[in-house]
Amino acid sequence: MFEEFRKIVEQRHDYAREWKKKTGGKVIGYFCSNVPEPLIYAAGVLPVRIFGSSEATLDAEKYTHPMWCSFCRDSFAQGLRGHYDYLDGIVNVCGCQHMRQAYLSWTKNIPIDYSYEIMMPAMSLHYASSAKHFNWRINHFKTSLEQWLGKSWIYSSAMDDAIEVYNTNWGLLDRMYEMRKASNPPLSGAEALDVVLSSMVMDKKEHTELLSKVLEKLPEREKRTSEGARIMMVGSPVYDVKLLEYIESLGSTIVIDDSCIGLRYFHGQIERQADQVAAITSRYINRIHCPHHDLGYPGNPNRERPSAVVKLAKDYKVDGAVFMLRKFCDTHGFDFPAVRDTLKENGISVLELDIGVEMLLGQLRTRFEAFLETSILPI
Amino acid sequence: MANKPVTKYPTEPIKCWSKMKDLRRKHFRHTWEATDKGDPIITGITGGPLHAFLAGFGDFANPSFGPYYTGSMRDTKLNIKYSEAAEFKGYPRELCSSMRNHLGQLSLGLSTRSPEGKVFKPTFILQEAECPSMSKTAQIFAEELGVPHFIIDESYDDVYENRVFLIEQLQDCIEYFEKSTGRKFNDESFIEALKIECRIGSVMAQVFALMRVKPAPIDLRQIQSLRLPTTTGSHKKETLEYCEELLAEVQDRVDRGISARGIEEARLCFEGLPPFFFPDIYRLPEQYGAIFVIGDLPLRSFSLWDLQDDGTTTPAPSLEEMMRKLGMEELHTREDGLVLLVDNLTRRMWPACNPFGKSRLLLKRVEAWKCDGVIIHIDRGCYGGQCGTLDAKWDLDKAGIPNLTFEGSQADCRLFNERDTVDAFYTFFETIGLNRIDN
Repeated sequence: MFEEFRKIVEQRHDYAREWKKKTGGKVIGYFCSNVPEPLIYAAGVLPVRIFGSSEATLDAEKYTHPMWCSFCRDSFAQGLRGHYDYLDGIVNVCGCQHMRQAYLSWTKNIPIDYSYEIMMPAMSLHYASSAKHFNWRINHFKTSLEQWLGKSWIYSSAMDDAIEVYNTNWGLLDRMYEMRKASNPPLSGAEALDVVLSSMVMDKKEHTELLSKVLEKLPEREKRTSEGARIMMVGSPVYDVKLLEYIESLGSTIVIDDSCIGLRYFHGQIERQADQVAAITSRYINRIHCPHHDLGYPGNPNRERPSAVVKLAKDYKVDGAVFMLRKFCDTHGFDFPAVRDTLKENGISVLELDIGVEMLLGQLRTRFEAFLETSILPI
Repeated sequence: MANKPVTKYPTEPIKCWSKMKDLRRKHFRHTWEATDKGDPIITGITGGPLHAFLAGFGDFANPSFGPYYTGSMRDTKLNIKYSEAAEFKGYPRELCSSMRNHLGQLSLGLSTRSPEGKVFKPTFILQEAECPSMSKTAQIFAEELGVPHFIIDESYDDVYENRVFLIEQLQDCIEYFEKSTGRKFNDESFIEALKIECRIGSVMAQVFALMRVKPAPIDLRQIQSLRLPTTTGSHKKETLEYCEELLAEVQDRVDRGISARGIEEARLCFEGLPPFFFPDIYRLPEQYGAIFVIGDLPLRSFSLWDLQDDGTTTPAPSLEEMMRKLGMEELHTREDGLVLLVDNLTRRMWPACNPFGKSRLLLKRVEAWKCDGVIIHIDRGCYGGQCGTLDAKWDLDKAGIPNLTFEGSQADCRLFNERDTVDAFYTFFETIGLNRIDN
């Protein structure tokens, strides 16, 4: 049922090249889920998330030292190998330093027609000045995009359409995730990841069409004999679907995640308002942030993420949480103790797994099975 | 084969050294005594020009990376203990070593305790969002100590809207801290401190500029220590007096041809933070008759410059000239002060964590300080500082500038191999044509 999504993810470069040939349009790659995709889409450009292929990254390490996170090294390595040669531009948001490094190295070493980095305030965007400034930055990005494309203006009708397309697609993804609240959910964590990843690399209209058909049939899907332990995946983004499949083969189902290439990517609609750019910006301001942008604000130093993660865990009735800590990911590294402790205080066991481009599956198996046996399954 | 004779220059001890040490001792004592004196204790890692801003809240003490950070750089047992304390809490070892040290002090209860056991609590936390690690650490401190905090967001481009954003943040910061601490912001103290800070920034830039001369009057190891009072007291009159004295002494050394170390067969640049627990890394070139004449750390810590787009730097002009360029004759109001302060923020040798200007600045630095080579510290865990570093290294290669990279850590001695590093340095010196000096 989900094979088509997997195929698109695996053949995403072919898909993008085909799209360019079919439409004559341009493609922009982006590194961070805070990039305002609907704006790019409204300009007639296909935004695609850049991510790796879980391959060794020796060629990238000439420019990005091995101590940088593997997500960024792998992403950059794909660019160096020419897999993203169809990109007309790249866009990043000032956030995680690792993505900034990947973006910088890309602009210096891979020919690209257009590049833009959007400054995003680190202080919580609930703080009025931060939100105002971010709004200015998005408007500036819009102007830059228009200039590059030789457009005098991205028309409000195009913005309206883009908002509609994105809201619809995100709404379907939300609906799909809601189905995972049920016991013995009709899809696995790996399948859910396939769907979300494919949405990041396809024209959203096409993805919506595909997903709608699947969601219609999904409730009738034959259930598995047992869901095993209900697991929540937290922490650094994991794009390696085979890793999730492996974890789920050990007696579990990943029912929810808190990842920027999972729930946090699509959760939250754009609330329409007269100022369409402000509407888009608002959506990025008001959603649950990654640790980098979860810095509190005057009067409230506390992080929002730990309690949001616990709420998710309770809503999805998880048995335990796996904190995927990508090696060298300082963004999530600083957050790990707080998220772990908050989950534990709420009765949810946590396993920390170090992940990277290359994984030692034997070790992972041992640790995960021990976690299931000691923390989750009844004696 | 006999080594070629090494040119010897006259050298003298630095007269300002003892004054620098006195100011440093005063800084530490202030942290322990601030609560009794009723002075605010402001944690967070900021540098000038924000010190002038904080001076508006009083004669503040600033423990910066933690009151025992410097001590742990002298004592490897403490160094390891603090890092391990943070790791025990669950902070991965890949995180910034300075922040792990800082967090380790927090978990051991040392961040709020004097050597005599007196407990103190920071009044508030102000942090520049210079790098994500520092911002996150500031938040953790605020959460754990129950202290108000504010993070100043800065962009890496100097556009008008960013300056407006900075001023708004500073105004909001004043309002928030007044409300949460009960302390009033004193505009006169702020403006007075700002004027001092502008002068110090300009003076220190002139000191660094004098190091462009051959023989360099002082070297990197010396300026690394000599600049320390500006890292925590760049708003104080006594620091200005010290800096002016330092400038006069360095100028005098230039006029008389007094060198830093007596030898200068090659001039080197050090990029990145040094391993603070191994300060003699800056002295390794002397074994080969060379010295480090500049590095990015002291430049960053506090000096003000006119920065051109191509990376050329000249010391910032006088305070009066800075104000004139902003259309001001005098600083009358808080807003005037904030406008000047924000202008100063753009005059720093770019925050560490801006990768895009790094190559340009480094190449121009090598040219301006007449360096024969660059040694680059690949600092494990310092993602803020390392962003763009390898890209800069390749640009050095393209420009034909000899360079060496070595792996290490600024604050975790377990991540540093002294022997291998020294070997690498010596090999590099030989590749640039230097010979070991017998004495």
